[in-house]
Amino acid sequence: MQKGIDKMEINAVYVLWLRDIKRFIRAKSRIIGILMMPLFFLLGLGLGLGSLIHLSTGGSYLDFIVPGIIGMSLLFTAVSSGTAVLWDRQFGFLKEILVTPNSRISIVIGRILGGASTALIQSVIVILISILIGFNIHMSPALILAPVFMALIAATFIGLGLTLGSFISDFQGFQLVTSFFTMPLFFLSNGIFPISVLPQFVKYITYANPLTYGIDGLRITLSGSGTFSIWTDLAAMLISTAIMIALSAYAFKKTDVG
Amino acid sequence: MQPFVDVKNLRKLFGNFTAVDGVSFSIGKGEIFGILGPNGAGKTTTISTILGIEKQTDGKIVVDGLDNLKHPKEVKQIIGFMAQETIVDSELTGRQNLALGADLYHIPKSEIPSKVSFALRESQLEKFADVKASNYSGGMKRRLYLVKSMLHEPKLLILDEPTTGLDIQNRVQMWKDIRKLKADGVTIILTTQYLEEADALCDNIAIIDHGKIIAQGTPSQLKKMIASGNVLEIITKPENVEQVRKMLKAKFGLNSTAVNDKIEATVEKSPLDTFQRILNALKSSKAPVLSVSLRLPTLDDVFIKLTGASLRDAEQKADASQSNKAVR
Ligand SMILES: Nc1ncnc2c1ncn2[C@@H]1O[C@H](COP(=O)(O)OP(=O)(O)O)[C@@H](O)[C@H]1O
Ligand SMILES: [Mg+2]
Repeated sequence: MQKGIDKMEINAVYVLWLRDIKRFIRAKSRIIGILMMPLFFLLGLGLGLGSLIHLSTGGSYLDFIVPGIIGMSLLFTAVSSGTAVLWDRQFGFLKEILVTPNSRISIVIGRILGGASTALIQSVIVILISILIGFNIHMSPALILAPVFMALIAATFIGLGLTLGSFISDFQGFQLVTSFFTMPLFFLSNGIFPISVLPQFVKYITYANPLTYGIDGLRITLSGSGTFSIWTDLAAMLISTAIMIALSAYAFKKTDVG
Repeated sequence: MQPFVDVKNLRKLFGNFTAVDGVSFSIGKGEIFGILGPNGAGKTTTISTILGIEKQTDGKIVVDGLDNLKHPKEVKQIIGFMAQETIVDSELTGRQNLALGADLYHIPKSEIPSKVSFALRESQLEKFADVKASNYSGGMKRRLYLVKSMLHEPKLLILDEPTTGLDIQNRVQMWKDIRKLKADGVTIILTTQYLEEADALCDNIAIIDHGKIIAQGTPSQLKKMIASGNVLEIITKPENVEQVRKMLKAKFGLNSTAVNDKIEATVEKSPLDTFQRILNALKSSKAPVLSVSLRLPTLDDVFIKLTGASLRDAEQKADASQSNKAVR
């Protein structure tokens, strides 16, 4: 009996994941919209500003910033797919799932995997475009860890989105709160600048920001050099993922479905 | 015989607000059970606990012999649900919506296509099966939703205000569909704010207000609660209301209630004869009378007798507040 139920839960996770993918593929305008921001950053910062900047650490600015831009697009997509819970609640879809014989936790996991998959597809597109405009991808065995870092960044921030989406019920206030979180998370990370150039107190903030370790991990795996060791990055991301998923599962349990 | 649904002393608190306050009822297999009450009475909360959307604070719910807290999944598997708002994923086609629903109820993959086609036929949506649901009309979405909630062949169907907001044509269709499901042997719980609906469809009714059941029985039992008599209704000018009420009390010993310009009283004995004498008395009192009528009691009279307020007034207030919401 117990086994049968576990199989049912896996089926539910799969079904909800598939729903996310189907919806993503159907909404072509959304795909384009989602790619716009990283493309602007890539062209404006990577090529434009990059031609003026010479990093003390050596290497081209484009190679430095591509992992940062991937981190940013993962952050934004992840938070917004996490907050889709809010939409589900708004349109009653949450209630619709809750009356079926599936547990809330498989609903959360289905959402996280669906969001992470779409965020990963998006990152791959960004990497391909970056290569076209001159990004030197660093070929090494560590490259296989790049998708792992992407998935962990996505999972952490989907967790954040889910948590926010579960607590905030007013839609307009919601968009404000979302950007209140995402903007500082990106700008107070190592996304655009190396940590070494930041003033001391900003440094401490970036050290506390999980995105910093995610982007550093991407830098090591994609561009070949980073600030911390890859194991520090990996450990930090695993911890933040675990914390955020636990938090979102808790918040989701409390959420009001009416 | 053991009831199919048995609810005992159900209570649900939100914070320290009591939304459902000690509700008990039982439903026989194959019955249509109506929960009738104004907006905010606790109808949705009551069924949400049966459905497992909300956890009851207190009380016992047993469906088909299964306790809802001990066997949540088994209970959910035998219940179908249609919420008050139409829940259809408009990004997906009708067919995809049904397939998703079937998957979430763990219908074996091999059975899904035939079940989905059957549901499409039943809802007369075959031609639109592969069109995105965002292009469906309100009535089409409602039909899609109803067949979706029946895909896993539930033994118990719960309908939350199935006809609120539907036009007459769609309402009549929905009543037909509900009767057909009953004929197929499905036990049905429906909530409604409409007296006519409860009267027309339900075998048993619980009238609920402020989270409490204030009366329960078959429609005719409930109407008999108003004593055996008939309802006298007089409409006059607001300034004459008191005069007429005093006259009714003094000459005929009738206790009346008044809402604006409408006076109501129950006439217990020899109604026709009394009616005649009241007409004469009204004539000689010279109070301006706009209408006088004598009729059989309705469920609304039961509600007024028990709560002092009309269900229709509550209904109108609710409608007004709802349309405000829509405008905002
Ligand atoms: N999630 C909730 N949190 C707080 N109060 C609620 C919640 N859901 C319903 N209520 C309150 O409980 C009462 C009953 O609501 P409901 O069951 O929806 O009534 P009905 O369906 O009869 O219109 C209302 O006063 C409503 O405001
Ligand atoms: Mg309701």
